[in-house]
Amino acid sequence: MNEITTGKGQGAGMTSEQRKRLGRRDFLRRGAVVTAVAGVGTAAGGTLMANAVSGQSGPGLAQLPLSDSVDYTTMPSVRLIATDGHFSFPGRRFANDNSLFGFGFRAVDDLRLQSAGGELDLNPGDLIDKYKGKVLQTAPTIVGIEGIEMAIVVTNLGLLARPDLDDAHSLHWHGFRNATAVFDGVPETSISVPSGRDLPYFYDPKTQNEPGQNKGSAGTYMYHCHFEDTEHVEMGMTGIIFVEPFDMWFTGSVGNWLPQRRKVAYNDNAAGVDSSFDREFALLMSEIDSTPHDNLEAVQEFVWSDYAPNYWTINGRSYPDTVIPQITPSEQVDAYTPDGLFVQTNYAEPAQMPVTPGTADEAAEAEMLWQHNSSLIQCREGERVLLRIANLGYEVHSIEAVGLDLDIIAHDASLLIGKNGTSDLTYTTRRIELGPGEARDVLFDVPAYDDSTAVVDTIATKTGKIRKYNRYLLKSRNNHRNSNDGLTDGADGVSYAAAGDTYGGMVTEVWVYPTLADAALPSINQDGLPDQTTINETFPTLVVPAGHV
Amino acid sequence: MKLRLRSKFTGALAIAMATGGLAAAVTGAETVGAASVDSTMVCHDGVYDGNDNSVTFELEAVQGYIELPDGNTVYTWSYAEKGNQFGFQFPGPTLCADQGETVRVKLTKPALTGSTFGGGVPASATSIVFPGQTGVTATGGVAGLLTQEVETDLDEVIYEFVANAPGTYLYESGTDSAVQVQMGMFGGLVIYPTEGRHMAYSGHAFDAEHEYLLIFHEMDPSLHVGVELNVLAGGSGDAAVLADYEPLTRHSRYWTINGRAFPDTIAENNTPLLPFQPYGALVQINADDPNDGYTQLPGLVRYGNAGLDNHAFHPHGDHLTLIAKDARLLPDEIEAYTETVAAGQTYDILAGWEDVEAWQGTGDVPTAINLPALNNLVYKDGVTFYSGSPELGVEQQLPADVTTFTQCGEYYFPWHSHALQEVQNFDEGFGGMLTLWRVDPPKVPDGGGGWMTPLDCQ
Repeated sequence: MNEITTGKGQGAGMTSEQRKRLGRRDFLRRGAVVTAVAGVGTAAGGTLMANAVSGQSGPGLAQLPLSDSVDYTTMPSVRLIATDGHFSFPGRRFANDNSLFGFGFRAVDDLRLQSAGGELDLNPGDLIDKYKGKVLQTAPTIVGIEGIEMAIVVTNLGLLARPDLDDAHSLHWHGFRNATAVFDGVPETSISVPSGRDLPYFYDPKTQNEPGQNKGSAGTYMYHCHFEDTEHVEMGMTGIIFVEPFDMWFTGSVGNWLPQRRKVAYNDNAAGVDSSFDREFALLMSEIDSTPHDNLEAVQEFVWSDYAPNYWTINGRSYPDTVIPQITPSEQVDAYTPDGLFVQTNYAEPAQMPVTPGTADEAAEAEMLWQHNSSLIQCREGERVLLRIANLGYEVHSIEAVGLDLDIIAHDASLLIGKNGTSDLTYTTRRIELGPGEARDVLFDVPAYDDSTAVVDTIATKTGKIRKYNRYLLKSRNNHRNSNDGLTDGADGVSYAAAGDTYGGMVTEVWVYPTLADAALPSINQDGLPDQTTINETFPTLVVPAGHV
Repeated sequence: MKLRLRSKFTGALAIAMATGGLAAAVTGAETVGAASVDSTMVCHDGVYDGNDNSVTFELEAVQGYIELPDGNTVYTWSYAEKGNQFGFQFPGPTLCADQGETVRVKLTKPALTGSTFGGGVPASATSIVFPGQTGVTATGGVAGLLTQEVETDLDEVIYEFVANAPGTYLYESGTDSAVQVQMGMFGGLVIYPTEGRHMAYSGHAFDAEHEYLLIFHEMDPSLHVGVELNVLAGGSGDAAVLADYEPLTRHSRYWTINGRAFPDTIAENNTPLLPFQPYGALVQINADDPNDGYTQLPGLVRYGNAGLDNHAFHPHGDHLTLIAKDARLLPDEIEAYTETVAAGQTYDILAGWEDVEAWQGTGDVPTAINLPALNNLVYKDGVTFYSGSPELGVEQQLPADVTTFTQCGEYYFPWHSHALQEVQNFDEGFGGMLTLWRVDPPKVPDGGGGWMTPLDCQ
């Protein structure tokens, strides 16, 4: 099946020219992947990192040698900036000047090369100018394709609020098969990235046909910083990464692209497990103890065995913020292909956020300018929805989608098909028990739309649409985690009309819309919910206002 | 007691130097390897009697102190075999039996020696229960809530059952459990299938040289201090008389594997520096080269959670294959990269690592990846388990102020609780419920038709 025969991985047996051509073609396709599945307000999967020119420096900064990089013409890669920032939770608002300090990763906004007006290959000096102290949580959702090597470059910009801390950072490919020590991201057992430098983290998500790899690499994983992991993970350096299966993109061999992407989470299998889906959502569960965040900002120690969280989050937000739409930088909405390398990200319904919030809703949305990843699940009746749920908190969570049956098809990026791939071990449940560091791939059938209980979609009006939906809750059944620091109402003056307000914490909503074909409901059907083109895409997707980094 | 090197900042270095178990540490960039650590599972086989196909273990309920990497010593209770050279060990001895044998465990409680540093537990009664075994009989002693109990140093209770079902089990105190099990009264029990000790279950073979038992536990030192103070004042340490401890407000500060917290977990079995904590937890396997014609069997790792909390244990390096839960085979294998082990639960897990990249000798990582110079990177605390080379089996010069513990270019991966506050020793990171997985280069032909670990890794 697969052409790869050397032990060294993709392309090892090729000439450099062949590698380059393969890489170019793969990358063009990866641009399509970004279009198709990545998005999430990030440069997921499509961000490239160039070899920076040694000696290049940012304005007013000393020369920073940047020797560590990826040949972006041959390897799909994403560049992540590691630094600090502030974040908004109910009761801890920017509007009230008491936002919460944290660390994180973010991808560069502009996916073009510097020579094409972008910032892909900027050196750390320039990146510091733009991004230091302005990180996002959670980290971007990154997408790989089974059979195509990939790299994530971590660039450590240091900490704006704690210039005295010279913490290194790293990236741990959490859960990847047959990982190598050098790219495992554990500073004690390999290497880590000092401030002002960068380091590429390589992984080859091999197909099931390659030697020693009979399970393949598709599935839902995580990544996080492993430098002083108890602190850096709690501070927010966490994200989801998933690998799309060979069968989604290829036929026969890697590089032999299907005419159209097949929406499947795993490869076809002898057990007959069907992993096809219509929409997909990545949900990263976690929790926050605000004390170490405050202590760190105030240059105070924290005794980690005192850990006691008071916020519970999905994709780095606490309810009701979780239902605020996905946010994306404007660079990723604008159409451009100046260097012939990048295919733009398409959002079906982008909505520009105003520079100055006018309404209460806009004020709530503005609070999320550093927390782009929504966990709002919008879907049409009759569809099959894929949830990629992972837990990088420190507590075991019990998650339920009230009123919905959940089909668990995979644990920890392993399709439940047994040793020989012939046993269907998938199961249907009402509740997902999810320990720290675990992930589940979950499918559910969207129930029928019921107009009698539908509510008006207030966010659709941002793009001039008229819709109604039925609301379901996806929430932690650990009910004490349905609060924000003990309260269901932050009493902080921030509200969001689209969300109910009787909960807080680890709660999000599933909005079920009528099918586009339902002619019986023309008044609401005229602006039916569009097809999803990127993971976690919401309708609308909010575009960061001009002038905001 | 020997003096033990301690340093808050170079704990791993100190313990490795002190034990000599891993590479002897040397200043500068030099790499000096020592024999690899043996922390494979230690079986106590008991006394076999062919007349009734039985094995007999004589255990004592004992007390003593253990050491933790932040310098703290903690008063604990446990079990030890009668005649144990130190009169104490933590946790209790790992009892091994073969399927079909009658297992007989005799429990006594030695007389107090007048010191809390030896002798039997002062508890007014104690016992053993065997979760997962059926038809357990208990004779002697006095009747307790769950089983027969030992009250005085004259009592002896004999527990007996037939080892019907192979697998990994725990045994633990069935008396005043909230205190006694937390104080350390537990141990591992392993039953091998009739096919032999190279199999975990019928049809599930593993590399018999690589069998490990990891028992998880967590400790609230306030319980231990409360019991200790009560005992020093002449009390029994029973829950009913404890003034300083309330199980509902338990707050763990230490998280252990086999009674040790990292970095002690990676010291060898029976290291003289931890005389009462004999069991290491460094897991080791040779990589399998998928192209060399030799199939490396996976190692067997047995998890047991003797604590009160569920622990999500995350192995770096590869997915592990779960074959059994609570000593009962799963319907089919399940792979996982993290598995939450519930309180009292056991798992049997196969751990192998395929050298799918096979970088050694091929010019390293893919050409598109430009690794930075080693001296431009950070090595935490100047010590590392990194060989300096991405290639498995290759040692490379590290910066002059960095010491490596690698022996022959082997890989190390942490295996740890992903509830990350549990990889702390009270307030010190990279500790707690964490151990390392040592992946050695693939075996090579030994010249006699067999395969062996490369000489420089032995």
